[in-house]
Amino acid sequence: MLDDQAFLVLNALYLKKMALVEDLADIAGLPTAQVRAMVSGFDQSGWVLDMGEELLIQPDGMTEVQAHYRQTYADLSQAEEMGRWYGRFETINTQFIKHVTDWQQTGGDARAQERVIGTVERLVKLIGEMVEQVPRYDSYIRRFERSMTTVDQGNADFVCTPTVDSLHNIWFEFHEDFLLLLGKERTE
Amino acid sequence: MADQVEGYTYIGQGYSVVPVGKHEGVAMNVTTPQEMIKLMGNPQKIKETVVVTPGGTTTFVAPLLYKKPAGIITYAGTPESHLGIVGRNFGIAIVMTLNLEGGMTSIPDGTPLLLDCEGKLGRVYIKSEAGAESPLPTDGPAVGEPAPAGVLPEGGSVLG
Repeated sequence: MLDDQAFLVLNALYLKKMALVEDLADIAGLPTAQVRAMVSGFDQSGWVLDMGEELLIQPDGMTEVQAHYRQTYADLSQAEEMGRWYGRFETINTQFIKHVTDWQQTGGDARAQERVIGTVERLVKLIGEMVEQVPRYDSYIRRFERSMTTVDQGNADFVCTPTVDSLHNIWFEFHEDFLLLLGKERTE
Repeated sequence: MADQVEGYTYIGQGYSVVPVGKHEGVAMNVTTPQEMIKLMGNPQKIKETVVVTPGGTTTFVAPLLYKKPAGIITYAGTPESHLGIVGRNFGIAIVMTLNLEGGMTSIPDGTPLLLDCEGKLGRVYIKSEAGAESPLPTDGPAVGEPAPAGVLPEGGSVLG
């Protein structure tokens, strides 16, 4: 079974599918040199494919990550409070997707952007309630807050541009993570 | 007819995510995350490929958009989705909830396709000669969820 740090790094790649070492280090909160060494080991195990600059998760790596979720969260996934949290998440997830779509279709309308930010703030609050049960979820709060600050400073790329750590990217990864933790399948 | 393009045969329509006009590519059915990962390892092939996702869950193909495929076709989902948001950012031709017509039930791998994404509608065509050389399957269960009638043009084909 993966140790905690190896899981943080491999899971970050699982959620993104393709990423740079620097991105994985940022998400895992570990030094880049340490993550580079870990990734080299993953490559030798056939869990990732090093494509030069980018790393690509491989089926065996996906299996490792999925096994870690099952083993680590078997009890928690059945907890009543997790089901309640997921229900609340689904509600604001629908709103978030609508608000981001509105923001895109209005060319970045300020009121649409406020609604996007407001929804992210609600999710940050929800994740804050879950951190005691899933301490690593703290990194989603850190990333959301950093990207919201960047948007507030006028960089609209951090709303939903896929090539940066945008609010939509972080949201998408959190959603995948939450589903894996609960052992649920996506319905969209 | 509005849905005729010279040299191509119309096969169906769905929601267009972003109005990017006409784009051509070769169909490849991607049904699992593992198949998506395999395709991501071949960036040049992605650029020539129209990714067809027959399943009910379409989100797993979103990472492919980073490598700029020729297009994406799904048999489920709407533009108000994670896939739609990412596709809109990259300006990639995406037809969601495609409803195949004329008795077709699937798009075989290797089929040369044209995606015409204008407004809220996305139309899909195959090169006529390709259709003549390799008849398309018409048996088996039908695929595709019906798109709402509100997005259909006057005189257009009926979805669902």
